[in-house]
Amino acid sequence: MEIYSVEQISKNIKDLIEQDVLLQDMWVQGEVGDLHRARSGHIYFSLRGGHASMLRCVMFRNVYSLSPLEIGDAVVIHGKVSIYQPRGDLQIIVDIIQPEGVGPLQLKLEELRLKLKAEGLLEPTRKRLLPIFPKRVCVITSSTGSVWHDIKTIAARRYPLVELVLCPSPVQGEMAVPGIIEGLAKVNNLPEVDVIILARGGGSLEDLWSFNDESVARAIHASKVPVVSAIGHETDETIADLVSDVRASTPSAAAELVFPDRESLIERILMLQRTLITSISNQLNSKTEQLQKVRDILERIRPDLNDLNIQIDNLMRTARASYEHNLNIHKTMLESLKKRLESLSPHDILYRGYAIVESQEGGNIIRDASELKTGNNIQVTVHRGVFEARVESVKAVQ
Amino acid sequence: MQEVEIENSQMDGTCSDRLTFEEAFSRLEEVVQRLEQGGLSLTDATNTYEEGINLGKLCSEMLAATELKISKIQTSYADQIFPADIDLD
Repeated sequence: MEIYSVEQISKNIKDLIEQDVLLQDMWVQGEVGDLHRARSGHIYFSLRGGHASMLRCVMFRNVYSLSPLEIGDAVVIHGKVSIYQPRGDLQIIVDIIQPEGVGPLQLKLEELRLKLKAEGLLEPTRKRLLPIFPKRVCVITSSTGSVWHDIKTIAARRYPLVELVLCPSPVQGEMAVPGIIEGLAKVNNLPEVDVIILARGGGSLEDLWSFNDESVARAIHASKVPVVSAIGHETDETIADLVSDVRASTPSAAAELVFPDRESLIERILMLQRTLITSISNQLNSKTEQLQKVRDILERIRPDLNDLNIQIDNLMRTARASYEHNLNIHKTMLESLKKRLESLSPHDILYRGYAIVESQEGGNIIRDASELKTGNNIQVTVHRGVFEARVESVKAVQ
Repeated sequence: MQEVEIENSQMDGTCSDRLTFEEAFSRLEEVVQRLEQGGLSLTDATNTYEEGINLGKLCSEMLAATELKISKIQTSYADQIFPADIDLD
């Protein structure tokens, strides 16, 4: 007989449980009892069944619950069985909890949501902002539904500058999933698309099922262009909505969200223009005030020009008088010089009875009697005329 | 609103040399901010003001004169749309 330790048996049970495929991935239906919320945020409760059966459950604090859990709630849980070795307690670690009556589609949806969340596809940090002024917007939707018509109408009213591209795709039925995936891929290959609107009108959970498809979710996640989802009504939240960058409650709401409003823009432009006018007017007024101040200062420091004019007049008068005085002195001097000059003129001397004697041969002026000999011909210039003569005799005078 | 069916390759990716609305609008906001901040010489302030007024006019004209451009790309599943896709809401 072999004797085992508690630890060995406890570990053996744990291994057995963890190898069981069913016990590791199961849905269980029951009623909530012995509810206890630990300070750590984890919730401990029991799940009661018929015939006095009961299973212990733990739900860690990061597990999402649609509504607050109450004792007596009929629920369907998803999770795996585990053994808590320190106490030997067998318990279900719950990762999904839903009120009873939720259909299998809803449960499947919850499972996919958890999977994508665990992979980080629903992270709020990966949501991209939409451009304020989109230039090209692609709409993936049915070309026959009212959705496309509504989006077109709203775009034309709000922001006609946008280029709208329809990427037609079935949004229901077997072809919807490949259609949407192809649409997302094609639109991502188009140049300069700013936003994708993935839209569909309202319908039942089954009608909207394509938007809960895992491959659609992954295609949205892979899109380089931000995706706005607008599927069904506000209450229908699909996986596509969760993965998209922005979720709009309806297709019309998506259009309102993506296209800026022309009226508000015109209003804003007018306001900016008013600001421009006010701003330039204020600056001009301020400059005018500055100019006036400088003018006032100039006015204050301006010299008295009347005084200066009188001074200038006086100076001019003095200058003129001085000039005239000098002129008269010079005139008098000039007159006297003229008289002196006239007295020195040879004509004046001839008039007084002197004569100029020149030799007839050489035309030289005879200044000395020794230059003449008897018989020389001479020319004599007197006042008012010239005559020729011959020397009769020469007498030297000491 | 007329829809034009186009091949994906036909869609042009390059914009013309003219300012886009976004460029004109953000330039307008920038110009207004610059003028509001003050500190410009009178010549610069007047030039900035004129630029702003022209940009405002351009933006308003763009918003007023444009007609929505619509195109449609070809997809393999487009012709497989069921009547049930037509929602009535």
